[in-house]
Amino acid sequence: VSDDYERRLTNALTALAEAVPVREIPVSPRRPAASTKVVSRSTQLSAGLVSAVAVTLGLVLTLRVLAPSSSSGLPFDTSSTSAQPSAAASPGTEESGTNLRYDDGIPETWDGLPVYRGQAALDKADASVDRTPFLVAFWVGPSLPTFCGSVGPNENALYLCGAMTNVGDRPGVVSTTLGAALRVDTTATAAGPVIVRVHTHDERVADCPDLYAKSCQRLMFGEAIMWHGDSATAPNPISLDQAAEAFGIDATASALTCSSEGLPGVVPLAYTPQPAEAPEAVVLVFPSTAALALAAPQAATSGGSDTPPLGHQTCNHTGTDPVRGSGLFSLSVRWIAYENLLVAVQYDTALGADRDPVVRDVRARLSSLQGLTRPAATN
Amino acid sequence: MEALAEQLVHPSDRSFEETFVAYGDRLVRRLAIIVGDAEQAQDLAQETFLRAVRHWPPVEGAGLYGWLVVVGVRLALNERRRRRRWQLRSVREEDATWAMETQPDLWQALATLDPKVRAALVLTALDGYTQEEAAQALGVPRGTLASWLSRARDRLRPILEETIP
Repeated sequence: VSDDYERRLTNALTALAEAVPVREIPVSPRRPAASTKVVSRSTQLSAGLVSAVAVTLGLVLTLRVLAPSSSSGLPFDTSSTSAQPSAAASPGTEESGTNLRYDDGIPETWDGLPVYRGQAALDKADASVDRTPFLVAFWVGPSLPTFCGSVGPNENALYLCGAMTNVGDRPGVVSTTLGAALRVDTTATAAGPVIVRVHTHDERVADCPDLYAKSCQRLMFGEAIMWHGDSATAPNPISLDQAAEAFGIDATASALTCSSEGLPGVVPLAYTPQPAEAPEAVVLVFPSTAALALAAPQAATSGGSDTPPLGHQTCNHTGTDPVRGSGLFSLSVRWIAYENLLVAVQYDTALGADRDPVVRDVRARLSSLQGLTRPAATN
Repeated sequence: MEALAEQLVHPSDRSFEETFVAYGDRLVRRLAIIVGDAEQAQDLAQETFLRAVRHWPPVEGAGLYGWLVVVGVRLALNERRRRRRWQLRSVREEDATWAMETQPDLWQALATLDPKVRAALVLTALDGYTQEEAAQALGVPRGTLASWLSRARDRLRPILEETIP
């Protein structure tokens, strides 16, 4: 390699580096990754803190750095869990022992105590005056990477940045309101429904400034996960194993970084067709067909749509893709619904979804599931 | 900048802030070339400094920038690897308007290279690392790194010879 070439290379890279727009970094404990939007501190403080933080998907916190540590080192210690979460949201976890169920299969009571959900859970928290525990239920999705926006030295990071972005009252639909009110460690919890023993008036938010002190007191902190799904809430009519088998993959939830990450109660399975090096599709296993229809109405109605699930962004991008050859490709995502499966598959926009080989492959695999579905669970 | 210094280091210890002033922009610019996204580069640089401040000083003396750039590059590549598990949002080349506005041909050629190869280029061509040092920083054998650089140079040669004085 000639010196002249090296000089040109260095000059070119230097010029490129100089072109990078560098703003003054408002150095703070944590900021979200680039794919997420930062809610500025002033915005957070002026716009109703809970909703402002919660609406910003992905704005969650690495509390291991910032929050007072608990016995396990986790911010919301659920190590005293009486019924440990299962490895996957599939049948086999402890049955509730009750016949009273909500329409999505979650028990209405647990050990004789009422299980609050959605607005009723929020109302219960609002009415609480001390740490007396109570039970709440919700659907939880895979845990997301944790980051935090700018937080001043006298602010309470646990309140400002701790909103959960992977929970909902209905499977497949994130509830920012519920997420803003909950502080439950679900990092070891597979996607599915949970009943959690919670309390309000936690000492970790006792120092909140007056501006949001009342909201801090109402935060629900998890003490223990009491129940984590059973046969009544397992994916149906297509099970996790059946979905995995159809795609020739393990029934192990994958870590995602795009749309549909953290969908409550939805297990994401990454599908990497040969000879791709990285996933070309993600099979989202919903607990029921009805849940899928609620979360992704366009895809459920038409069978396939470019419209992502509610509240999620599209993932169109341009990039390299070895499975399609060399060079850059403009890729979009087609959402294909089949029973309780929603498959997000990227396709080459130059070809169109119907002619894309990976989309065709996915459709063929979904067709192989015909006749394999289980009878609906009866409750 | 001052906020971090005030929150995370003892007020009397200004060496962190001085380091941040000296190397912050430099690190962001290098990481942006590697990840193709200036915003993400800012995040990665900040994370790098946060890691540094937790163990301040991570290394003594002149090796400090080396520590920062190696940690930053590794964070960038780890982030890339994490994103590649689901390739839908792998690298946002289309967002690199800063590059397309100034060096479109060069950037389009760089964008076809794997980020780890771009990292190797940055370390060797911009920061003057030897191949041995760059290989060590990236955790690969020297021969692998040499192969990456050779391919990269071939890819960039037409652009460099035609458009870069």
